[in-house]
Amino acid sequence: MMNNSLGRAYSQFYKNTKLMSQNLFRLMDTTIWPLTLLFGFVFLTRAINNDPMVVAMVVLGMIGWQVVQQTQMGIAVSYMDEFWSHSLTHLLVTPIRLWEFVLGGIMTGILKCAIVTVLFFITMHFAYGVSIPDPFSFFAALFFLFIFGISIGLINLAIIFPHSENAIFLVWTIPDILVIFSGVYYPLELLPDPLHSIALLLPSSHAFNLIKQPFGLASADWFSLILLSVIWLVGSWMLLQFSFNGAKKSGKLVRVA
Amino acid sequence: MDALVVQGALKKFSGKNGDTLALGGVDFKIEKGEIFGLLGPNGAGKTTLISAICGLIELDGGKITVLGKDCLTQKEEVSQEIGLVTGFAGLLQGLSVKDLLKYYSLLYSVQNFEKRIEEVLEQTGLAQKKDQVAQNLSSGFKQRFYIAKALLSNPQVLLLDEPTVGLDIKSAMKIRALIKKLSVEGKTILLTTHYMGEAEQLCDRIALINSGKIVALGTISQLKSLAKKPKAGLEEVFLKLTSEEGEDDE
Repeated sequence: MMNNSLGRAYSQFYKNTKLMSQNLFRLMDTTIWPLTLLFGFVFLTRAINNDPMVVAMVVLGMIGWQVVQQTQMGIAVSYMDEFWSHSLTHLLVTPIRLWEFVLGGIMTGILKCAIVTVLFFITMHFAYGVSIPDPFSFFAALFFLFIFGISIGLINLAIIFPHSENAIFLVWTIPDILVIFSGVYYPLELLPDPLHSIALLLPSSHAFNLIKQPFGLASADWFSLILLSVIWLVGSWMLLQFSFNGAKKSGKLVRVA
Repeated sequence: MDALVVQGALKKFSGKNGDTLALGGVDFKIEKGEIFGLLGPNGAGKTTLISAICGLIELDGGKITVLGKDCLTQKEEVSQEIGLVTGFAGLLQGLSVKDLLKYYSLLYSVQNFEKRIEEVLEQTGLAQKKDQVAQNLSSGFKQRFYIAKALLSNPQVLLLDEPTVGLDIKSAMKIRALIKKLSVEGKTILLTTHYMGEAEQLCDRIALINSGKIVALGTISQLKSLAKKPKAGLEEVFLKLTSEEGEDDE
């Protein structure tokens, strides 16, 4: 039974990697586009402040945010490919369960995160000698950002299920909104008071504090980080289930009438 | 045991203009090995019913079982027992016939899938096309692909939703021959179609559905008797029986 579940989850990974390998343009969102963004930010940072520590903080922050982006994209794209191909019916009549589908998207997200992280780090290490001052904190932060990426992916799916194409534009903007609150490149204290309070409710802002801590720009709050990560993950999963069941009830999952 | 049992299937959809009754208490049974036709005008409830059998929508009332298993509460088991063929859904873009069949084999947990893929490719006459991008196949071969996909898990029940729609005469004939062959091999088939000749040629029994309700059910000769038109074609019988129950949904 478990083998069947893993096989069905793997089907999504198989589909996503097969599609990536057969269309090199699909690799651009894990290579060219993130690298372009990275160099843009690094050049800007160096123009303002050429301190290697500042450059390192920006680069490590960007890696962290890419983990969120690529994870949530891995989940969402797994669904969107079926949606764009109008092949959702063929997928949904199979025995695949919601959690198996999500797990397949997460597997894809892990691969995408690994590609971007390695690419960013190697490029920046050789170009600017960027290193990780506190590997434990950094990789712990990446882990929690990965969990947060899953939560965002689940929320995106929960929005897409009942609203389909109408919701896509909203879904693509969610990470851009969250990046402001997460304090990826600056201390959270820079945010105005009401925004600062909202930021503290995001596990991502605490994870980025973990990354900024060795640079003396923040202090980590492990308790909030763990608690919020769990709350967001459980909450987003419940929201997704609610949305999926609602879409099934209303017939919006697949247009049938 | 019957292969498919629909009991009091009820489904309403809410919209801006109020509720629409898609299924108003549909009842029928399909015996094992039977080809059962479900005929009705557009919007009659055929696709809604097939969606409910596949567990894609939740009924507001009633129950559907496939080989004794509940379509809603035992969706995973039921999914293994049914194969859906519909030309109204697309094909995942960019993958070859073989890759797509491998993808669906993983989804259906098909054991020894390489061998099974070769078998269904042979069975549906797609072996020569296995390396082609599925999306680029002609309409006739796409239908064959859908049948190949539906057969992967060797299901007992096949749901064929207008399998010959939009096909040229030759391709449609080949698909019909394939359907007949599958029936001879013991598959239970639920077929929806707008082509009366196809229904007459293939179906053992036919249910006429209109406005979400079964208006007539029986063999072709029984339907003709019911319509009091023993010498008429199925098309005339269909028009007579469905118009008696209300207006068509154009």
